[in-house]
Formats: sequence, structure tokens, C-alpha cells
Amino acid sequence: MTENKFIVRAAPFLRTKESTKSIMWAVIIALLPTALWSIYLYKFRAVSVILLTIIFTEIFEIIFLKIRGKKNLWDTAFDGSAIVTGLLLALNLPSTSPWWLCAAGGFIAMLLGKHVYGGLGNNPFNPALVARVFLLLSFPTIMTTWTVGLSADVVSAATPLGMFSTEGAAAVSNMNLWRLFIGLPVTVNGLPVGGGSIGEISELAILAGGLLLMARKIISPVIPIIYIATVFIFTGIFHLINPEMYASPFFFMVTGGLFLGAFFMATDYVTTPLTVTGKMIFAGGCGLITALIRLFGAYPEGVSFAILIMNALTPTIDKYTNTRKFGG
Amino acid sequence: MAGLKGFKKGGIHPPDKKDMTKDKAIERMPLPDTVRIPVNQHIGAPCKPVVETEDTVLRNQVVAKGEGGLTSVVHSPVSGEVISIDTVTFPGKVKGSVITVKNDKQMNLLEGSEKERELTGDFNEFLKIIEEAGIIGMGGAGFPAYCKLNPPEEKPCDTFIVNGAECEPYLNADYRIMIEQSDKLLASVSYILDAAGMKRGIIGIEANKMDAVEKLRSLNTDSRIEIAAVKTKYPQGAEKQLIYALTRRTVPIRKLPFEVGVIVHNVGTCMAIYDAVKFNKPLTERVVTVSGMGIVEPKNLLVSIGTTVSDVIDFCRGLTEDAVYAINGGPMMGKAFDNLELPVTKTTSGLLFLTEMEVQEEDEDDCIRCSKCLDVCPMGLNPTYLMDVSKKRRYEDMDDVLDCIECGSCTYICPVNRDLAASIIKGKGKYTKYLKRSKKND
Repeated sequence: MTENKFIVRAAPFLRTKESTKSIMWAVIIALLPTALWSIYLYKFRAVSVILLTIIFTEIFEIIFLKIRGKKNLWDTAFDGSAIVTGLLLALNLPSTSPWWLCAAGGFIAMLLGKHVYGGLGNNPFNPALVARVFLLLSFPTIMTTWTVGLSADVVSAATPLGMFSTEGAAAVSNMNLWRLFIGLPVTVNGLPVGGGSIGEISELAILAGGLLLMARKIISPVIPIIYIATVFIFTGIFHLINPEMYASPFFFMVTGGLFLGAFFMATDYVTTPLTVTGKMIFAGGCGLITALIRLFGAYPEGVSFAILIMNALTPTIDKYTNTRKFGG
Repeated sequence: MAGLKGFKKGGIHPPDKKDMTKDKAIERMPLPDTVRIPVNQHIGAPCKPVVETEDTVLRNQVVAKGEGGLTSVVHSPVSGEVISIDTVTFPGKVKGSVITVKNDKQMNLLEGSEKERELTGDFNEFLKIIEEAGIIGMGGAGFPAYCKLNPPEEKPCDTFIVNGAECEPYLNADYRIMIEQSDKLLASVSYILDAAGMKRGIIGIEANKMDAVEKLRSLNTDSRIEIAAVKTKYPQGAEKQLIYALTRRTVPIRKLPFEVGVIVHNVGTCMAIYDAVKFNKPLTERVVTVSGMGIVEPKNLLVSIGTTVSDVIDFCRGLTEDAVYAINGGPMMGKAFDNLELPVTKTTSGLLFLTEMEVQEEDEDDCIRCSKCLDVCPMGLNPTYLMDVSKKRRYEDMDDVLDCIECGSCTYICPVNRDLAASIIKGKGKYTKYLKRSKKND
């Protein structure tokens, strides 16, 4: 009869085509509107920050994979995860970042963020945020020197959150929030405001990418919605109590890294809880810490710290939340 | 298809791959020269052969039976001589006896079998006929049908569900029965409702088979019977999931459907019940979808139980060179095997021969915690966690493995190709043994 040799293994014999690679590339594509907007605002400076950070991150990814002796080295190196980390890190840097800052960021992200724990899937903290916070603490001046986009000169300018933090609610009460949402600079008393990390300027661009990821079912809406809603409600309560001291909740929604964090970093698979209940707790915690830091903290912005703190709580959240069984 | 009823949690949309045999009418495969009849094809107390080598048997004669309340007899589909009784390994590494009968081509029937008869309509007589006809759940589980139809007295059932979901890709056996023998299926449901005294019958069919839904609706004259289209979503044909979709009743965890007043039988099982009560015909044949890129001519076949896979392959004009998987059942829950001399059993809904191209193998990688397996699990479990604790044999954390329905949705969806379902199913076995051990020690 036949000469066929049959393989015996367990079912199922069909698998989805979705892979780490296809997921990572979808995230990269979803970040394109944000990246393109940063290039529109900051021109060549944004191009160089983005490219340098991605290239350095990818180089360190390959080096550390090699050191760890990973099999399928090249497949793993180009599964897109290092590109996502590099791109996210770049979008969290100021436009004036020098090349060595990009390199240092890529190094830290891959070493302390990812490979010391055993690579993708085993890292407790979001690698891009580990690198960003490392850079912020090590090079505070460079990391908080902001410029306004769409300007030929490098003009230093406060971020809206920075202005609120140093000058109070009154200083930011007349800002055009729609312009901030779209990602255009605003002026306050004739001075340009609206700087920030190159990828946090346009909430609109981030939202477009976030919706794309939801439509592709790569992220669930649970985390972004609860995160942003918590910040809105918490800052809203304080605004209602004392509008002269605390800026409007709408102001807090369209400024800083809230959208970038909520859609692209608090949704990182590896470092966030598995269960839906867990995701809700995680997102609520992120929102609460972000709002607390913004209203009462020493730093004007708290998204990075909030997500990292909740990353640390993720194993505990996973332990104490479970799925709801059908019929149980 | 908005507004269709579906199940509550999870589910996936694998490619349905039904086109290869969707339009192929059921073809009767001639009785083979020898049949290899497995002694145990059901869930429950094991059977023993009641014939010996060199015995002569008649068609429809009982060749194996068991003792106890939950068992099922086995009949010979041919007349002829028993030439051997030996032990073989079935898919899933289960060992079992097989009675080999050489077909004398005489078709000598057991006295009184395959003759139309009048019935008294007595419920106990009805159950006895089904028991003696060796009918078991033909959807895959193999639970003795007479037990399923006889729920405990304190749990009366009002609803009979015919499972025509056929949610496994490739398979069309139930679909072809529903299209080709619609009248007989409707008659069988009416009969079962009468005999078991149930108020309503629902035939649940996935919406990718609307022609079957329409045809059954147009022919149905029994006002107690509803033909319902349900969402095309895997595993719609899983018992608890189908019950929820059709009745919005939730079977409590680790309980049987009668807890919510429902009895479910597969399309093929209903047909077998009808043949048994009306024509005194035991279960000795079934419809099998033979499909996949690895078989030269895919078909829907009416095959005698005990026909070897190699005979089926020959009848379908052989295998292609690149066939690398032989699967008993569907591609989601079926079992791979490599011994083509194994027979078709009462629960063989499909025989698939798949090529490397159809089954793309990729290396397993570390979990990236995407939580997709939690999202798709129709039982609302945490598959990645259960895989980890199963592998580590952390028995104190493993209890949920018992609720796994083994549908394979988690493995299907995993982007890093982890063998979630297989590990959990293994864990289930280990955990069950552990529970037995600790009970003994108590």
C-alpha cells in the first residue's frame, strides 16, 4: 500500500497564523501615525531619534540573545519585539536627545528591561519604560528639556503639565485643549507651550493607532478605557472641589503621556495581568497613581512611574484574581 | 448573521475547510472482506468478547458485552467466521481487544433483525431496544444512549436537543444526513419526544449550514420541534455550549445536562435510535467524512463499524505522497494515529488525512502572556496557568483542569504555539489519579 509515515501527536491540528511577529508588526504599524506626527512636528530631529533608538535597541537585542545562546537567533531577533521597544522608547524621548542617549536607552531596555530576566515573556517591567526612567533619573536635564514642534529653531518650552506643576491651574486654564488633543503647539501669554516627548504630543494620532489595535483584537479596550477614565474621574473630583487649584480633567486627558501609556504601554502583554478583572485593577491603579503624581507629586508627570509600579504588582494581581468559569 | 444565538464565553473561528466534501452525497461503502470490531467503543464499564475464534457469527449478532449499569453491547456488521481476537493500541495509546471477523458475503441475518415492527410506546421497552442496539453518543464522547435518555426521576427533562452543530472543520457527516435524510431525522425526533415524554425538541445547526436549516424547517410538521440556527463559532457543538445557545440554560460546572432539564443527542445517534426502534437494526454502521488534502478522493461514506482505515483509504483511491497526518475525528479534537489497520468505530465522525501544508508546524516559544487563551476558553478557564501547574504537577492548584472540555481553542489561538490543551489534558489524567490516591489514603 502506501509508504506514508504518519506523525502522532496531540490535537489540535489547526493553529491561527497570528504569531509574536504578526502581533509586534501590528503594534509597529499602529504606532506609525504617532511616529509620523512627531516627524511632522520635529522634522529631522525626530527621524534621527526614532531611527537611532530602534537601531541601537535591535543591536543590543542581537548581542544579548547571542550571549544567552538563544536558538533560532535571527528569527527571535527580528520577531519585532525589539523594534517595538525601540520605537516606544524613542517616542518617550525629547526631540533634542543626542545619539548616545538613544544608545544608552537601547542598552538599558534590552539588558535591565528584558534579557536579565530571560527575554521576552519573562520580564516583569516594560523594557521601554525601564529605560526611560533610567534615563530620566540619570540625565534629568536632557530628559526634561523640551522644545516646541513646527519651529525652525530649537526653542525651549514648558510642557503643559510642567506649567501646571510650577505655575498652578490658573496658568493653564485658557489653553486650547482641542489643539493639544490634535497635537499642535499652543501659546500662553505669547509664549509657546506644548513640548514633550516626541510621541506624546498628539492624542489623536495615538488614539487612531490604539483603535487599530483594538479592531485587530490585539489589545482589549479594558485597560485604556479604565486607565484614562480613572485619571479623568480622579482629577475631575479635585477640579470640582477646587477649580482654582486643580486644572480641568479634560486638560489632564490631552496632556503628557497618558494616551501613549494607556494604549501602548499599559497594554503590554508580558507585564500586565492575564485576567480581565486583573486588567481592570491594573488599569485603575495606573490611573490613580498617575493622577496622584500629577496633582500632588514632585514630578509633573507620573505615567511611567504608575505603569512600572503596577507592573511590579502584576504577579500579585494575577495570584488573587481568577477567571469566571462557565457554569461555576 | 447578527442576532444568532451563541454560547456565552470565548470561542474561535478556525477556517471551516468543509468545501472538500460539502456537496458529496453519502456513498455506501461495500462491506469489506474482514472487519475488525473493537470490543470497547463507549464510556463506561468495559465489555468482553462473547464469541470465540472459529465461531460463526450472523450479521447483527452480539459479539461483545459488558456488565453493570453503564455499558454498551457490540454487534457484528457481517456474517462469517471469527478468525482472531487480539489486543491493539488505539489512538491516544489506549489498548483494547479487537474481534476480527471474516466476511462470508452471505449476509446471514440474525433472526428477526432488520424487520419493521410495531411498538407499544412503552418507555422501558424503548430504552431496552436502544440498549440492546448498542447505541452510544456518536458525536465523539461515546456515552451509552439509553443512560442519557433515562435521567434520574427527580430531574425530569422537558427539552430534547439534537446536536447538528458540527463545528469541527472538515466534517460534513451530520450535515449530509440532515440534507439527505431530513424526513427520517424529523421522524426520529418526534418519536423520541413521544417515547421519552418530552415537551419540545430543538435541532441546533450552525449558521454555515443554512440550507439544512431551511430544508428541515420546510419539511417539519411537528409543532413541538424547532429548527434553530446558531452562531458559527467553535466549539458550538460542545454540549454545554449548545445547551446555553439554544435554551439560555447554564449547566452547572461538573454536572450533566439533565440538571437543567435537557437531553442532547447527536444527529447520527438520533438516526441510529430510529433504525433500532423502527427496524430492529443495531448500530453497525455510521457516516464518516473522509477528507483532507492527503486523500485522493474525499468522500462522505456510510461505513460498517470495524472497517479498517486502509480499506477506507483504498475506497477513496489512496493517499497522496505528502499525507503526514492520519486523524480519527476532526482537526480540533481528533486523535492522530499511524496504524492504518485500526478500524472505524461508533464514534469515528471523520477520518482526515492532512498534509504538512495544512498543518503548519512551528516551534514552541515562551508564553508572552497575551491572555488570548483566557479570552477564547469556552469554559472560562485560565489555560496558560493550568498548563504551567499541570507541567509542575502542582496538584493543589490544579483543580480547574477537571473543567476543561478539551476543545483545543487555547492551543489554536496561542501565538507562540504552546501545547496548552495537550498539557492540560495530561494534567487532568494525573490530577484524577492523584485524587484517587488521596481518597484511598484518607
